[in-house]
Amino acid sequence: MFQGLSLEQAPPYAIPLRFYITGGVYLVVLSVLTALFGTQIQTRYEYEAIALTHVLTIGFFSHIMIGSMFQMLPVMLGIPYKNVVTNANLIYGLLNLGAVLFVGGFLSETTLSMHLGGSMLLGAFLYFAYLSFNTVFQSQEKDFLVQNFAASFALLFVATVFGFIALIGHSGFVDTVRFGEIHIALMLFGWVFLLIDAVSYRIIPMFFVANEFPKLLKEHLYKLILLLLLGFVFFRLDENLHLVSVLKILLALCVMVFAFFSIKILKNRKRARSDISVTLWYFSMLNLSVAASLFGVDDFFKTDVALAVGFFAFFGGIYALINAMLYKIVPFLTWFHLSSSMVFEAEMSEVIQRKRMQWQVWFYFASYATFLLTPFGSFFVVVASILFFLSSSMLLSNIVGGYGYYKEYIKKKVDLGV
Amino acid sequence: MKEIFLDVSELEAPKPLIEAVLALEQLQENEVLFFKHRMNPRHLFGEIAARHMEYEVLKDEPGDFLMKIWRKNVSRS
Repeated sequence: MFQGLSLEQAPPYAIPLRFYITGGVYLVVLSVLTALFGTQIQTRYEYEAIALTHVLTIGFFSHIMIGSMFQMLPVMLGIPYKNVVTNANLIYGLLNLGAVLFVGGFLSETTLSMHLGGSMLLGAFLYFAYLSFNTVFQSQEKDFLVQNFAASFALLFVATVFGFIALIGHSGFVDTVRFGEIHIALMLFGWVFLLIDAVSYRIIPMFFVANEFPKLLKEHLYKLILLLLLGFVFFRLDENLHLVSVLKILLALCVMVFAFFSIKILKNRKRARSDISVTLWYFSMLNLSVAASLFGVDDFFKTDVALAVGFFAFFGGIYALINAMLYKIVPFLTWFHLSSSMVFEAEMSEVIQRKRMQWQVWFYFASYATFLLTPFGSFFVVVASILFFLSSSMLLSNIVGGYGYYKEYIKKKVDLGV
Repeated sequence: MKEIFLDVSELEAPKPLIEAVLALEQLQENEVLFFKHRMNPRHLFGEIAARHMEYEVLKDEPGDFLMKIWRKNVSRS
């Protein structure tokens, strides 16, 4: 009989799930705020645009990414975070208080609230980056996974500092646009992209019965990105915009190479069968490729394509990928923790019903398609937001349902006195 | 020594780990388990240690991993 797993390293199940559920709540809030404020947005520099972007990036992306790290670093690398419960609670508190004040400050144009929220977010991200960087270096094996994670955490640290300087710049101390662009590049290509590629190197072969990524990509892509970002920071500060344009093209090519191999590996997977996560993965990689292409050549356009880059990168690319990962990670973690609690009746495929996942993703696709129509009228922003409200509510309900599944089986075990 | 082969290279997570742990639990003192997977099974090492077993990695290449596992105090052949 299967006797369960020895999970000394894993933190309590409630820690990642709390981050995931909160991330889902922010997504619902985002859909409401987009319906209310989205119709007025013309450029990325408007306060409403900054507020909505950060509801998605801090509220959803960061909650899911940080929550996953608390669980996945111990599981993937075998190294636990020190004082995981206290540290997770501290970061969670700072992140949420900071996000609400920061976003509220931008929406109400209240400088004090922006700065107070920004300071809390600075504390949350710097502490998380420091803690995670230290944790990965405790690993005995300093393989490509450790190196990719470490690079991502280091860049999160630097990106946060630049973001805070850009925020202060709104009061006229520094050139906000210059520091803001560096913040965005470091966050997107550093923290987010490097973390996504590291997790993909592990998750794709593990969950999709697919081949591993080429060694060259796993071991050297992050070094190239580090180098390019270093150049980007230096030349952007120096206002050498010609070299910045070249570096942007090279960064875009890195993303496209990763997207190409992800699609190729998934296409050649051994047990190819219909899976909503795979559909989302393809969709995400195509969107990231479109966003990267636009980002790489946007200096040659006469019109500002920043909003389009943001849409394809954030909403079409990163969001879809995180959604896909959640539908693999939540069932796996639920099964994993039940198994370690000596509950063996649980099935990974039952944690979130397949139909419910499919409906949620179809609503997301419908919302995405409607957002594409917004140049033809602001009415489409409202319709797209309503569709996204339905999608995000279903995603939230699916995650909560996963938690409910866990509680139900634990309760059964207690009731039976096992 | 009786040799037992377990190939989980075409199973998706978490089945490889479940199959491996089941095989560890059934492994007798006069048996050696050959475990084949498409990737390095990081979790399995903790399970092996928890059961006071020994192992030797025979191949660890992209897409191809092979190890053998046996109970302690048994000479491997």
